[in-house]
Amino acid sequence: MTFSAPWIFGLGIAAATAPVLIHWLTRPRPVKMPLSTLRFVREAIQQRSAVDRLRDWIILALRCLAILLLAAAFAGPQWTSPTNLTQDEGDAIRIVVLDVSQSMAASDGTTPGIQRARSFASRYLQYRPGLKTNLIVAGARPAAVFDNVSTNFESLREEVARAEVLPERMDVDAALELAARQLASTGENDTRRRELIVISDFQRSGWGAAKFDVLPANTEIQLESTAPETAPDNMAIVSATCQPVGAQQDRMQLEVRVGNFSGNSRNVTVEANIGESVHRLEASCAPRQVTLLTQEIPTSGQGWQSGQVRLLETSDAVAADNWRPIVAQLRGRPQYVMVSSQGNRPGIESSRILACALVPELTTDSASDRFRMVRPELLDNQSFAGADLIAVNAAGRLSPEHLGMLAQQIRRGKSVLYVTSESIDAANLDQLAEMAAVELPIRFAPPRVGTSRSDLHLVSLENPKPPLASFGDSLTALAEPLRFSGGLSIEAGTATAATSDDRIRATLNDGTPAIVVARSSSGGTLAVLNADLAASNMWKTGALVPLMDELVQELLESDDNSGTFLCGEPIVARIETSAAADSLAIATSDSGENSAHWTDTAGKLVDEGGAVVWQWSSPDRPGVYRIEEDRNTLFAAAVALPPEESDLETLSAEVVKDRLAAGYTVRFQATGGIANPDQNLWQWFVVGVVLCMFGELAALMAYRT
Amino acid sequence: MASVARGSRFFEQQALAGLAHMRFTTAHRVEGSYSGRHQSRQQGGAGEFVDFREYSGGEDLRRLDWKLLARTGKSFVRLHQEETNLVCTLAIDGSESMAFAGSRTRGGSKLEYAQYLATALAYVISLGQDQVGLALLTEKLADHMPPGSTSLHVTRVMQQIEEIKTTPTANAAGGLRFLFEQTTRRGVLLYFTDFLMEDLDETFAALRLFRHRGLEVLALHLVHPEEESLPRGTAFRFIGMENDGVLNCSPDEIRTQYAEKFSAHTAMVRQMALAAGCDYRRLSTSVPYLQALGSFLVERSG
Repeated sequence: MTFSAPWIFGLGIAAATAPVLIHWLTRPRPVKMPLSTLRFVREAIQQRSAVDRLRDWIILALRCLAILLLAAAFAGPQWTSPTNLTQDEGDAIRIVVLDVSQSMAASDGTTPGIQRARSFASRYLQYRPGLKTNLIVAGARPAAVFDNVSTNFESLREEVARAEVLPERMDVDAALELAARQLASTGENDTRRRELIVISDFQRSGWGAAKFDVLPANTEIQLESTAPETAPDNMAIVSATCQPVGAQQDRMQLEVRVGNFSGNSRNVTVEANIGESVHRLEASCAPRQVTLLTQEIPTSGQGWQSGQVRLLETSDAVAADNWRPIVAQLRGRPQYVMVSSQGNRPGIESSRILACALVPELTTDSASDRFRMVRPELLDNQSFAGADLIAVNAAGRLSPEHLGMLAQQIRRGKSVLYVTSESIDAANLDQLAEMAAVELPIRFAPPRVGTSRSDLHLVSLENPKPPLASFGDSLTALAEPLRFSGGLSIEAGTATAATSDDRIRATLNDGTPAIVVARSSSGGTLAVLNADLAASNMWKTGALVPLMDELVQELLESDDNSGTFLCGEPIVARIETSAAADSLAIATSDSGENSAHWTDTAGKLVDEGGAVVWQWSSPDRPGVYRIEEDRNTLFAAAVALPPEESDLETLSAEVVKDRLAAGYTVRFQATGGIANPDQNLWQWFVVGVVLCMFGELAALMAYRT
Repeated sequence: MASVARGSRFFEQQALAGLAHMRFTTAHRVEGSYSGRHQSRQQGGAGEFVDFREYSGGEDLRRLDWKLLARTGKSFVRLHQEETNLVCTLAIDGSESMAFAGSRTRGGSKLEYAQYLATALAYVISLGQDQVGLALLTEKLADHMPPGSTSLHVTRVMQQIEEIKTTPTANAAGGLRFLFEQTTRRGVLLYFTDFLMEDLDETFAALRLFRHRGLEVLALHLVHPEEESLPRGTAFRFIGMENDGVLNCSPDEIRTQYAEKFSAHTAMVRQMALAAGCDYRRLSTSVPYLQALGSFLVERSG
């Protein structure tokens, strides 16, 4: 058995001698007196020896024992022999992994986890002959202090003392792989014992899928948990987004998700400061659930809006997750670029119909600054500058170079609306999807020779999907007169269940899809409208404009959480601007401040092919970061805490030992009482103190004089 | 006896003037040297007539009541009670325990109390024309003055009482036996002691010898208040007065047990004294000796 604070126990031993010392020091000086009846005194003392002196010894022993037990209880007793595998002799390699993720800042009311972790780590980094060790500070990018194991314990302990909680999650697998490299054997003659010490709170979200099997087979694993006995209550804003609503973009939808990681229902008030306006949202959050709070707020101007959302009047285990930065971009009315070979012939052309559907104010005789038409042969890198949506219609056979340009735009997160007016579009789509890494649900093919696609109508309107779903009850009346002509068939053998595949938004009565929306992994979108607009009657029914409006809104929606990045994870953002990187600056209002200031520690800006790329390998401060040119914001990003760090639920010792690290020699030592019942030892010492007091009382009553 | 013992510091003649009219008496018949106030064991013809008894052959014809023989024809002898003086022996225990004076500076020891009391008794006895002797008892008979009644003798007795010194000894039976051998006449033995001797049984055996010879034995048990109850205080180092070692203790812790022990001891002494036929009287030194003596004399006078 050991003690967390042995000095307290030492103090207790000194205190236990206090009754004896006090008795000795305060012993009265005897008065000398001749006595004639000394034999009666002697007989009385002998009689008392058999009773009272026994009582006195019992009481003295019980009092000393009570003081010792009380001191032991305060000293934090714990059984170390079964939970600690480190040995004090022999050659060994010891790697200490110190978790510095945000959840380690959680406090049980007195001591934050990182403080306990530093204490544990220092204990394992003490010199002894034959021991070499290294320290891995494990955040989002785990790093070892030394390249290899070392005997420089002093430096390692200094690193431990300097270790602070980072606003990021721990990359458990990367830390274990790094530890495995440090523990790897250097040859057949390397018989040193291998010890891995992991000091963490063993959060369920981070450690649930940890892979210990990368470690050498003979590694002995000591797990030191810093988590409190029970997961402390925590409230957190796990996400905050603000998206423009409607084609006019005169309002925004504010969505805040509040996580209640406690056992009780809580009423919360969220204050959102966006731009110059302040909004309040209130809700009751159910225990162990994430509650969505929404509010539609008016916009003020265009461009990037930034601010923060904050939980009011909340006191919990982790204060850092009680606020969250937020950014939103009000693009204004979207800009379109259409790639088409049409435009020279008289009459109704599908490109003209599409242009009017996208830009209703565009008429036959007028032009709009929101719309540009580019012929395929004139395509270059600057053709798509400033465009929010690229439309392709009747472009003929596109060269691989041109398709590559379109694919690049998709990979950069832009959306392409492809209208299949011609048979050659099947080949174009096939190559474009492949180059842009977009997986279409079906493979388009030209209509078979001798067949014509005409007078087709929409089916499966019972369960409409976007953009048709937004029409609600009027969808049937809207879709009934629609007749589709032209477009592509599907290649035999690639048919899919249209109703179950979310990418197919509408289906024609011949089984071919009418509208397909497929997203790439980079965030870009490829949408296919499978019809020849000129041959169809959509433009005549008046349904084309609202249909295109809904489709464009979906395509322009960003799925990147509205410019939110997570602390600890690399940021690479492309800023479409003609300015040079040197002329741009990064401004930040981190740590929840409203006032911004310039910073040069928030990554770097690099020129790259007509744009500027913002690169920040390890964002370490939450806040709003803006890329500005002459105080005009070109780009804004919200760097926030990983939401997983707010859930402080931990894994039990059994799960870690028996499931995650099965096959290894594992010892788990918990600071709380659930995982390791030995940690309740102090309570038994207190019980012992109470028993001693009762024993003293009983002795006094039994030997009452 | 007006001129006796002026030099003794224990003789307070003025204080004893109040007791001058009282006499030390005994209910027993005694043997005295001279005529006196006390019934003699001898029944001669010069004393007060008390009864007739039928004559039996061989008796002294001088006591035959001739007149009665002439009137009745029966022979009776006249019985007369002889009176004689009293022979008292003051035996004082000279063991060291008698020097116990307690922790307080005021007040005296048991020995001093015995000295005052013995001096006063010697004076009162001498006032009754009785004889008084003195014996100082240790393991043996340390000092002995045979009884006498002259003023010079009484003065010497008082002086001897004043000069008594204690001796560390735990036995008293030897001294009593020596005294018994020196005692020839039946009288009264007043034994001043604290009965803290180890040979208590032998002591009472010796006292029984006196009783068997016909002496009246008065056991005057002297008790100091701090013997009955230990002194107040947290810690004492008690030093045995009769070479029985040293003992450290806290009197408060053993007060009850000690009191029980001492009470049992005094009760046992009383039982043994009564069993031996002795007259027992317990005297606490906290009671003024004149008061104790007065009540004692009143009691005896009957």
